[in-house]
Amino acid sequence: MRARWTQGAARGLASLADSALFLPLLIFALILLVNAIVQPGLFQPRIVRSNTASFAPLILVAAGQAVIVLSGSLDLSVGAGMSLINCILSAIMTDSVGSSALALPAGLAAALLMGLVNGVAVAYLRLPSLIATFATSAIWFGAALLLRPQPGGFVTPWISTFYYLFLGPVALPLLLLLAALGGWALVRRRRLGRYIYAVGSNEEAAYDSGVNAPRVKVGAYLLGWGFVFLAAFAVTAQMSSGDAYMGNPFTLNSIAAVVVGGISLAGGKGTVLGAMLGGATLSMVINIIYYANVPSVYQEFVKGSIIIVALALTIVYRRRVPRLAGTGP
Amino acid sequence: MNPVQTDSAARLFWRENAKALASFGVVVLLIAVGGAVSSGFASSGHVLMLVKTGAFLGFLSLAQLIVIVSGNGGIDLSVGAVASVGAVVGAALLRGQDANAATAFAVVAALGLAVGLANGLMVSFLGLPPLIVTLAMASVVNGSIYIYSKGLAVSATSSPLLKSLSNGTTLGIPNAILVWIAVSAACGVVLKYTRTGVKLYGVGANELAATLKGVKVPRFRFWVYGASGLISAVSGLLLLGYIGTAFLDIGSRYVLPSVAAVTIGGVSIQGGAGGYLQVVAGTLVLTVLSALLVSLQTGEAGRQIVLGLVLLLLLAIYGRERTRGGSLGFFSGLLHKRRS
Repeated sequence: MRARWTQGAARGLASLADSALFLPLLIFALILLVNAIVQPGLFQPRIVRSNTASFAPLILVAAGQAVIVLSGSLDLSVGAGMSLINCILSAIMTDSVGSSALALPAGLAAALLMGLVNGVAVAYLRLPSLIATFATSAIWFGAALLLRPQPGGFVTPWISTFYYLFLGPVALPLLLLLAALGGWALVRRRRLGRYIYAVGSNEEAAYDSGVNAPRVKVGAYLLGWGFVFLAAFAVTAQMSSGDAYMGNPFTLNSIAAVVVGGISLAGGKGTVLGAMLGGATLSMVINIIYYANVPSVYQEFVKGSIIIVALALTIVYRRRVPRLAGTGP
Repeated sequence: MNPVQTDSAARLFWRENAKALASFGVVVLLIAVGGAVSSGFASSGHVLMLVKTGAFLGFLSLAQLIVIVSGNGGIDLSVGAVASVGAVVGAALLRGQDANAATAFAVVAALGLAVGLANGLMVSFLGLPPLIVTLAMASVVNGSIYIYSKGLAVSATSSPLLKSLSNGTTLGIPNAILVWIAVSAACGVVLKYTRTGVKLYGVGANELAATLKGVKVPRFRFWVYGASGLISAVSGLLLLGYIGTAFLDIGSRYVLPSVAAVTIGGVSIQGGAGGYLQVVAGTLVLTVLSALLVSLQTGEAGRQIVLGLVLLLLLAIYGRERTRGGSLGFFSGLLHKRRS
C-alpha cells in the first residue's frame, strides 16, 4: 500500500520534473521566496489581491505573446497595441453605461483587427514577424497618439472600482487571468491548438501533412490579441485614463516573460501557463527591487541579469533532461 | 531548398546589387518627393546633411548585419546599449582633451568587444536564443551605465578631434560621410574577398557545410558577436563626437532601426546572404523617409503611421521570406527571376 503510494509520488515527481513547466515553476518559487523575505505580509489576502491586480496586465500580455511565439512568430507591437486599445477605451467611455457597452466591443474589435493585420503580414505576405510587427507598432502608436496626444482623458469610474472590488478571493483581475487560462485550455486540445504547436515546431512538416499553416498563424495572432485586449483592459482599469505611451514597456517585458516561462523562441515548445508564470515572476522582480530598497538605478541591471540567469538555467536543465523538448500540458 | 546556394556567382552578384539599386532608387524617389513638397529638401547641402545623419545608423547597422548574416537566428539587440557605453565612457575618459583620445578609444573598443563576446559566449557556446540574450544584455549594459553615472547625465564632452571627425567637413563633404564611404569600401573588400568574409556567409548559409569544410562554427560566431560589440562601441564614440555630449540612452533609439535598415536593404533575416551596400541603401531609405515625414509637418502621430505603412510596403516589395505555400509575388518577381 505504502509502497504504491511512494511509487505514485515518485512517478508524479518524475513527470513534473519532465514537464516544460518545471523550470518556470522553480524560478517562480525562488523569486516568490525572495519576495516573501523582502516584502512583509506577502501572503496576506489584502496584499495578494493588490498584487494580483497590479501583475495582471503583464501576465495577460505574456499569455498573448506566448500563443504567437508558440506558432513560430513574434509580436513587437503588443505594447503599442495595448496603448491604442487603452486610448480607444478612454475615448469612448463616459459616465453612461451605454458608452461602456460600446467601448469594450470597440476595444476588442480593434485588438482583433491589429492581430489580423499582423497575422496576414506574417503568414500571407510572409514578412519576417520581428520586423513586420516593428512596422505595425509604429502604426498602432501613431493611431494612439492621434486619439490622445497628451495623457489624460476619462474612464468610467465603475471600471476601476470593479477592478479593485473583491468578493472574498473572487475579483476581476483573477477572473481575467482565469478567462485567459480557460480560453487557452479550450483551444489547446482542439485542432487550432494542436496545429499551433505543429506549425511552430516545423512549418514545412505541418504544411506537408495538410495543415493550412498560414491560416493557423493568423489564428494564433487573433487568439493572442484577444489576450492582449484583456491586458489592455486591466491596465485601463488600473490607470482610469488614456496614455499613448502606456504600453511601451510591455512589448519587451512580454517577450522576456515568455522566455522565463520556458517557451522556446523558435516556436512549438513550451506552455502558455509557463508564460503566465513568467509574467508573474518578472512582476515580482520589480516588486523585490522596490521593497528591498535597491536604488532604482539598479532596476534595469537586475532585471537583465535575472533573465540571463533564467535562460542559463533553461539550458543546463535541457541538457540534463532531453525529454523536455516535448510540449507538456 | 534555398535557391541562393545553387545560383551562379554572377547571378547572386546581380541579385544583391539589384536589391541595393532598388533601395537607392527609393532614396532618390523620396528625395524628389521631398524636393517637390518643400524647397531646399533636395538641395545638395540638405542631402549631405541627411547622409551624414544616416552614417551613425549605418555604422550600427553594420554591427547588426554581420550578426544577422552569421545565421541561426542571429540578431543583436544590444548594439544601442553598447553604443551608449561607447559614448558615456568615451566622454568620461576624453574629458574634452585630444590627448586622451587613444586611451578612450582603446578602453571603449575593449568594453564593446567584451560585451559582444559575452553575447557570443551565451549564443554560440551555450546555445541560447540571440534575440533574448542580446535583449537581456542591453538591460544589463544600460543598467550598468545608470549605476556608473548614478542616474545622472554625464557632463563630460567629446574632444576637438572627435568633433571634427564627426562634424567637420573636408572639401565641403562632411567627414562622417567620408568615414562611412571608407568603412563601406573596407566592408565590401573584407566581406567579399577575405577568408573571414567567405566564412561568414558560409556559416550563415549552411552551418553543416561550413563545419564539413573545417570551420569551427561556434568559435567563429563567438567572434562575430564580439566584432558586433566592438563596432557598436566605436560607433557610440562617433555618435558622441556628433552630438557633443553623452547622455544615458544615447544609443537606444537606434536598435530597432538598425534591424529595419538591414531588412529594408533586402537582406534576409535568416542569414547567409546580403552585403553592406544593401544596408547602406536601407539606412538611407530610413533616414530620408524620417526627414521627409518631419518636413511634411504631419505631427508625431501622422509621422509614425506613415513610417509604419511605408516600412510595411517596402518589406512587402523586397523583404519577404522565402517559404513554401504561396507565390513569390509580383514585386519580387520583378527583382529576380523566379525559380521553380
